[in-house]
Amino acid sequence: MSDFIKISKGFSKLGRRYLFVGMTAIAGTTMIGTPLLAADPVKVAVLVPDSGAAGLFGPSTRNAATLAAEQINARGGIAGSQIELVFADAGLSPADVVGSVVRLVRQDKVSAIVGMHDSAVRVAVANAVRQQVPYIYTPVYEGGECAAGVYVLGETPQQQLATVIPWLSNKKDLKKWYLIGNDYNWPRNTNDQAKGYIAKAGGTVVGEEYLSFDVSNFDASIRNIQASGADTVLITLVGGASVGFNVAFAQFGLADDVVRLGTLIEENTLAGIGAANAMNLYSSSGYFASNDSAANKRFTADYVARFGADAAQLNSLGESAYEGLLFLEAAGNRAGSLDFAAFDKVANGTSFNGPSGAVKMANRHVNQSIYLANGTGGTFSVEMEFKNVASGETCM
Amino acid sequence: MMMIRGNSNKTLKMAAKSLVCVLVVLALVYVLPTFQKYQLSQLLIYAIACLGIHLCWGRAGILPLGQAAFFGAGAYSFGLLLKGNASDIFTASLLFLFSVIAIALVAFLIAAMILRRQVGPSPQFAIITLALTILFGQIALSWSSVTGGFNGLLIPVISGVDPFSDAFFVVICGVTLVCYTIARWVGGTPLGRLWMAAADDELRVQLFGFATHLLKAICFAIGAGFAAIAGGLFALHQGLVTPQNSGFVFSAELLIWTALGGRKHPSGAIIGAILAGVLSLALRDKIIWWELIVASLFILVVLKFPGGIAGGFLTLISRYKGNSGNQEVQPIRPPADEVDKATLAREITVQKVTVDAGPVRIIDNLSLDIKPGVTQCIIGPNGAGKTSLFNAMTGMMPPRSGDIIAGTKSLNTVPAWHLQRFGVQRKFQTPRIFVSLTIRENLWIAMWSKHLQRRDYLSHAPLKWHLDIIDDAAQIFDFLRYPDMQAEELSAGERQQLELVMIHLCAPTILLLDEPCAGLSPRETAMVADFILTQQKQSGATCVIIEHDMALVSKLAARVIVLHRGKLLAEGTWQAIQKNAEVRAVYAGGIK
Amino acid sequence: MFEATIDVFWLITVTMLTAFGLAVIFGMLKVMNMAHGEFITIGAYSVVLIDQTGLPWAVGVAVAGIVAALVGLCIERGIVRHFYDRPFDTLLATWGISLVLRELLEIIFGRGYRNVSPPIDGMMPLSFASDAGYPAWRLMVMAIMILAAIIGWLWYRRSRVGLLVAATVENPVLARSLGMSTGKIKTGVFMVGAASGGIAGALLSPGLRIDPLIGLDYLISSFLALVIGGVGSILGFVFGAGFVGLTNGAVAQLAGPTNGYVALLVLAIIVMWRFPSGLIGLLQSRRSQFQLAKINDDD
Repeated sequence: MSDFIKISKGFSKLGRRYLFVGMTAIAGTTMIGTPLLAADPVKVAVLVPDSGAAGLFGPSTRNAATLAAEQINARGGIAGSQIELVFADAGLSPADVVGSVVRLVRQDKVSAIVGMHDSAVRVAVANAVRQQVPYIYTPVYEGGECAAGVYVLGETPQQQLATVIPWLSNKKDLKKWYLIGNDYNWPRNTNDQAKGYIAKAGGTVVGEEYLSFDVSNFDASIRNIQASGADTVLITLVGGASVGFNVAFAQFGLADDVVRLGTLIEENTLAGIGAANAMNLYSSSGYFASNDSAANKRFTADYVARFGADAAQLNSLGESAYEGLLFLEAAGNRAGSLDFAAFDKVANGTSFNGPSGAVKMANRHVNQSIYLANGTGGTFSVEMEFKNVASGETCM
Repeated sequence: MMMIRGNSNKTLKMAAKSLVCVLVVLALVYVLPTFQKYQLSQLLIYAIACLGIHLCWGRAGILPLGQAAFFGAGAYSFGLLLKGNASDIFTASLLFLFSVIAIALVAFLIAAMILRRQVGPSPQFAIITLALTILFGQIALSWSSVTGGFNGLLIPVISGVDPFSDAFFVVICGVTLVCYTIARWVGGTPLGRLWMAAADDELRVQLFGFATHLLKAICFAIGAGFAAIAGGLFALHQGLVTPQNSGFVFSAELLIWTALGGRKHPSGAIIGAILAGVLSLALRDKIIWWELIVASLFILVVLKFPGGIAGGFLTLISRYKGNSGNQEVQPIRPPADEVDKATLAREITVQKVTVDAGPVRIIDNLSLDIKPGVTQCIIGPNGAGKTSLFNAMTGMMPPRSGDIIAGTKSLNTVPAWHLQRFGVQRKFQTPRIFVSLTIRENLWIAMWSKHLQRRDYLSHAPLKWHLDIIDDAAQIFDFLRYPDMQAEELSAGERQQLELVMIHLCAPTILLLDEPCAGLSPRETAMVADFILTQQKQSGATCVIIEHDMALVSKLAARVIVLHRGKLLAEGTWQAIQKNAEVRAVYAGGIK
Repeated sequence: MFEATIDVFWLITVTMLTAFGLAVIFGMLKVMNMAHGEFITIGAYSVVLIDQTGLPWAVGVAVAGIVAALVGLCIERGIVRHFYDRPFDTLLATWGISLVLRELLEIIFGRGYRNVSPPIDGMMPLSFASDAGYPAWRLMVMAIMILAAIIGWLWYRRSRVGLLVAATVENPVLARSLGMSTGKIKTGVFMVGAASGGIAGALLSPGLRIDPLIGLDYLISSFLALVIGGVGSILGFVFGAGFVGLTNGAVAQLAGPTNGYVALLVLAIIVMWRFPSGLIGLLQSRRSQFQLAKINDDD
């Protein structure tokens, strides 16, 4: 919808949205839950990035979580109790998020935490929660999180690449790979894993580059890619850097001949990159909104019905919160409660079916479907589904 | 009798305040639930960092855009030190102190080095601190083998330290109170006063003999030390340090909280940090647009309450209390000054000095002698180079060539604060005094110029010093009888007079007076002229006066020097100059 | 080699475009406008709006300038004009304004990334030897900038308005007593600074990621360019932007963009330390010494 119309509707919508948020907040923070015969509702904290660099994903995450809670309650709740969501901003500094978490656990007495945020916050929250309640971490991340009490649903680099790289290499005859990412642990871990898969698929790495978050001009990197003769670029840039790089890449005319594969390119990033610049841009992820599986079609229909056609765009990160709550439901029902000890006993082995297919927990990570989508033309079209991909983690 | 009562009053007040503080802390411990104590601890930690900003910004006029760098440094270094060493409370405390002191020292060195070349409010220094904090944040992010990179550094657990315990909360409160007390106390010492004076007019302080860059560096170091303390406590509190605590955004937040609370008062730092934190906690999970509300509030405070919230309160309180007036303190004579008499100069020799300002030659190969012990006047039409000559003498306009010798020392190659050692004092054409201090404090600084020694910087004794000459001057200049008045409220003429009195307090041997009667009424002019004459007769100092008023010149001058277009035109007695045809040709003076 | 040159020139262009507004406002009004980055964001979003209506890109640029100027007008009239003699407080007030503007943009446009297609597609070949090309729209922007710089300089030098502004900046009291409405002139200068930020955002929008938060990056880089070159003179600004672009670009080519940014920070520290009045100050003192030597040699 055009922005002009949006703006004029925007302020009245603001009022409506405000009201909606206000009501959710009030409902969330007071004892007034949906009246039922069962015991008091069980509170579940959901950490959502409302501010900061990932604030972009806040609305879709909130919506997905809210939808999940309503559907779970309609099915009878978790272990017989209705659930009530309490949201907290996870886009603040880790110290501030920990402050919120401490309040949630000690004062609001939440029984579980579902977190959709970056790794620094995760480490801080895990350090603070210390197995008082189950802590479910949902978004794609760098792998290696084995702290006790943390259950990770997010895709690991191995998951995203182990099957995708050989398949794509084969299909597009990819031989020379250039690795470019932001300078922190997720891109570095991803690239370390990628090198192995590339070699196995018969390719070579012709360049590797890490950029700090402040960089906004990518011309030098693009020159390097040209000079290296690469036919593929593995992109582990995040957020604005991903958009900026991909736009410049295409404007320099590289998109026709060089394939791009990204492991964190979701619908918003694609919109930022623009249809004209998305030629041969592939993305590997556990979820795409345009996936036309039956389960996803149902999910997106429910989402639109609940939140309207121009609600926040569904994407892998936002949707992960939905799956986080589904997992909570599955494990909680198996355990008979959300008490930590009981939950922990049954976590490994719990499985459920979500919008992106079957998911099963092993080593406190999940085996799940991985999709490879092509972004040419400005929307993702899923080209391949890899079922039941192992996470590659070995946490006990 | 009065002295004893004064002292016991003070001790009583302090005891009462301490008791109140202890009671408040105890009350908080019992009333607040655990997690609120935990969160309040975090806010108090931020408040300690803000206290550092208060000192730098509110007292010394240094804008610290990079406080987060020291906060992060404190957190990371403490964490790294703990990692390598045994972790019991005693060792941890030692490591903590070590880390704080090391960081403060580094801050001192950096500031001393950079400020050496800056005079006055230095946006350059502010920008350097900004660049440093961005650099530090980048290093913290990239050097992941040491700092843990993006995910941060996990702090080892120290046995017996639990961030959720009451003991921890009490310790944080205690440290906050100690830092607050230090900040408050140091602000009242001579060092604190000198900071404020330097914030007003740094060159003026330098001419009183103080190496201001070192003083400011001390302030910066203390500020950095506070930030490092806060950082170390933060590491214990969170158990984790991330690069976000070292970057520009966190620096900006600390600045904003300090500004919100009021940067001029130590209580402002604490109020700002706590208020901002409480607002954020209360609003952020309830209202999606909470940042908008906080930002609007912030603009409102900046617009309406420039002194911040603390400033606003204190203004209200002072309005109700009225001016309580200073308690009567017994004045004491300052100790004898230890200036080496041999370095005092009585004459100045200007040798072939050339001064340029851009493409204009202001002083052209000028040579003249300032004779010892006499009053001489320098006259000449506008643009002759008279003030510029003074500027060259005091290092404000370095000559392109030539030398200015005072006694045996070269004047133009030394830093401004050495001039006081030679006994040189200057009064400026537009009076330069310290407007945000009281008259009494202005006089203090002039007295300290000669008498303050290292051990006195932090003592309260120099606040009681008094010289007889002040009483003499008070007979002539009315405003000196109200020493607690803000210097800001003085008229232009009174400021002239204050500056004149101030430089006489330094017992100078060479006085450079630039139009001491500019802007004064005839009556005031006569008072000032008498004062100058009387003082000169008593001290035998060399007086060099730039004047336009010929009546004054004839009254004061034993010798007249005429400058024209940067060159020496004539010199001699007033009578001789009056008759000099050349002088008459180029210069038509006015008579008041 | 040619590619390296044009890459550096593009960096210089970006720096000049984005820093110009800040240079004008800081250099002439002594106001440290922390909301400068938000004008650039507003400019980019204006193009987003116009793009949706199907009007040509040039209209978007014009609208960007107008909208940014209007926002600048409100800010100057409403808030900044109370602070002309309190530099610390202008810094704080404009920081607050930048927060508010960011939130408003978020409310209106949402947080998602936007995209704008360039006015001209495709690339222009740079040399006969290789078939590597350079995005055509960037060449257009560079041409626009050079043209605008020349015209602006001439106009400022020769026009009456330029004279009035210079007078107001030099000696506001005297200017007022001569009947110039210094208030209006200051507002005008602020609006020009704001408008240039908006236009910069519009010109650069085809290559930007567009979301409410991009302003902060430009604020810091503009600021560094300004202080390195020297505040208060147009020549200083040009010098600073040039130097920044050159350093950043050269180091980025050799050692990666991250080190380019680090080199910039280190450069800023060194310049601030040893050359407090910026590199232009260094140049000017040399120049006047040279001039003086010439004058005296003639004697």
